[in-house]
Amino acid sequence: MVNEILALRRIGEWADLSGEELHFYLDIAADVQSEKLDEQEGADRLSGERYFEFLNEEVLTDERVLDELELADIPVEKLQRFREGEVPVLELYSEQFKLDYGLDQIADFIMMMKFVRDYMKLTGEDSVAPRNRLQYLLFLVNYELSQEDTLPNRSNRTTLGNLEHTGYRYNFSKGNGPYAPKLYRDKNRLFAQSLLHEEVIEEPVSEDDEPYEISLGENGERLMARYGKKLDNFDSVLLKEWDLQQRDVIKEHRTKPMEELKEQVRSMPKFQATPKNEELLKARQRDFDEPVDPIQELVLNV
Amino acid sequence: MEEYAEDRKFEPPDKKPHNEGICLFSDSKSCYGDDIESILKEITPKISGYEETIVADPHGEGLDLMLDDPVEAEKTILKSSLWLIHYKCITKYDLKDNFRSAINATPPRTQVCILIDAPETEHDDIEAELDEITDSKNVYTVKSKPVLRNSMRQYLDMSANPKRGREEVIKWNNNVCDLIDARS
Amino acid sequence: MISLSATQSHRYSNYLTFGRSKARILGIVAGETIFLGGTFFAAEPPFLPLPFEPGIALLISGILTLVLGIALYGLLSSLGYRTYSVRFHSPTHVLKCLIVYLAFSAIVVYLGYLLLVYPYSNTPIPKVVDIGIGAVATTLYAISITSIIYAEDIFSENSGSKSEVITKFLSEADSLREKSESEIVDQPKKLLQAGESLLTGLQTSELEGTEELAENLQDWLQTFKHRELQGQKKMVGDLPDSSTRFDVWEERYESFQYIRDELEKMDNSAIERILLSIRGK
Repeated sequence: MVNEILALRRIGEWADLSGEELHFYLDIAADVQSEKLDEQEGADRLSGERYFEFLNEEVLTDERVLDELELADIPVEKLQRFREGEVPVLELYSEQFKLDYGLDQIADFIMMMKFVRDYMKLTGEDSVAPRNRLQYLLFLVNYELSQEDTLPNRSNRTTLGNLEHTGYRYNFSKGNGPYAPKLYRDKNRLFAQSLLHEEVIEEPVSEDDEPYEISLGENGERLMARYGKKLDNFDSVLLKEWDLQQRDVIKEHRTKPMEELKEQVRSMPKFQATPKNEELLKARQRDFDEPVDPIQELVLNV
Repeated sequence: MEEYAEDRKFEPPDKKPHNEGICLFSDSKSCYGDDIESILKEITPKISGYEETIVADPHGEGLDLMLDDPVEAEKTILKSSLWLIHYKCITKYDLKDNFRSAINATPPRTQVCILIDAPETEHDDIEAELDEITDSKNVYTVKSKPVLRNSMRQYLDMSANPKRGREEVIKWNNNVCDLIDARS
Repeated sequence: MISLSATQSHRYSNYLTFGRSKARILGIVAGETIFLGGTFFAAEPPFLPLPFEPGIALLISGILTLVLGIALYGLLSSLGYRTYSVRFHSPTHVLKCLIVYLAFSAIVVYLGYLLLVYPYSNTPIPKVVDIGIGAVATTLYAISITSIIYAEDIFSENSGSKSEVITKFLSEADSLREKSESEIVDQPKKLLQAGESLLTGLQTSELEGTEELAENLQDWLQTFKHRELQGQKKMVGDLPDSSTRFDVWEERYESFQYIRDELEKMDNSAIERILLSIRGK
């Protein structure tokens, strides 16, 4: 089964095809693909990189596709890559879900994965469920960070306490509970890379809850097996503070039923004082790779 | 909707093909000057094993259901694994949050296709307006009829077709059954 | 020269056989005729002393013929009701069958007259009283054949369930249409079972006019079987009132309406339809 159904379209766009030319190419490539798949045995297991290889080997190098591309007069060097079966399909996908986001984004990803791993470890559960529990708990991590101001030698420009310097870069708004679309976007990105795994849970949940459970994906398990110990002992003070807060939140709320957790968050004065759909809690303000503040530098030098 | 047995084969003569629901969210059946149903008729002969391993059925009530009761609507729309949403349903009606949460509720492999049927000069503005909706991995936009035709064909032939991946179709189906059970 | 094609002759013979095996019907007719003939031959010379004036005898025989004719129509209507052909549920068609039956019986009775009475009367044209008695005999003969076919039909197969199956098919369809998805249990399954049973009846029927309904029902059932519940509901008429309603569901529902109309026609015998229309007026 192929989940990358946009691959042919992306390849066409990569080859600078548009309008009629793109449409002709799409039709022909889809015909060739269908025909070649019908000829293959065990095609049902084709997905991801194997599918991209199949496209390069069987579809994009087919005379009918090449003729169409020649007619469309695509750049010579790109046509050559089609002929040689070396269209960089994987790159077209990794661009969408690339993990070279920069240090700050990677920190969010790593800490979210670590949260899921620690949650499973500390609670003995197989997953974080229902899915919105993750949202509540990560909100609490940021909230608790915002309530403390313990980081050494840091000058604050805001009233966010430690959250100004460390914590997730997700802005939470007030919905039924705290809601951060970027948190979900990152969760989806991790899912796309098999770093997190998400599946439907069978137990009934209340109507506000999202009936999914989140656990580590195949690649996530591998990553944690390899770097888990290192991630438990951060050298960075900022990451350490973040991690400790994360663990405290897990320990404090690990046994709480979802309803109790929701009630606790909803009864927080900050939550009640915020009108619906308005901002509930700001995201971390400073980037890790932000140049050191001149005043802070002065303080540190002193 | 019934759970599929793990060893279900979907092959004739005895086994029913996989019924692929296509849910249209729009106030008109027409898109890019053509009827979605006629686009479907054009592509079904090109789908490998059509009527044997897969059949597709279009349902046009998506928007009515969302306007009526967005939470209740999910019980019906989740049964379709290909959603075709005319962009106006998101920009014109006050349903952005509802669509966002409905899309969030979809199991992996449900595909959401947003149809941008407007002059090219407006495309950027429309896409900007759709921003948070298109965050999810399974959401993509389509801006012309041939691309829509190709996307539908690719999806039905390659992604939702048990002939190309029986286990994933069974998993998707059973996931949706669990989801709907959990909501009732 | 008029020659009958095989199809035409098949069609005309169905007026007598109602789609049943021709050999079996021929056996019944032959057995009946030989038996009746035998009883006449046993009395020699064959004569029927009438204790009435010829005028009264004619009146009585006329009334008797009428009553027996109505009884014959009722029997033929019941025979037609047991078939899977909509045509054989039509009052006009059953009337045609009645005429064919009477014509056939009249020929047999007239042959009997030539064989048994003519040697005594020496005239091939029967007297008025003989015609009256002949008419009664004709209707009685037709009734006796029809009764044997009917009795044989009842004992030989369980075709009386057709009406139950139609009722089940239509009521499951109603229930599927009216109930919400969460209330539906096994209606689609039962509807399919009833539909398949009707399909078998239609496909095995020898009568013409059943093929079209059988084909329509088969296509519809095949499509129904492959649909999810939300589609199955649409196929029996639960069509949402939406501007984006897809034609494909309307076509499938129209097909169901045709099947339902035909089955409803088939669910009343010709005589019931006459009574209903009289009551309706």
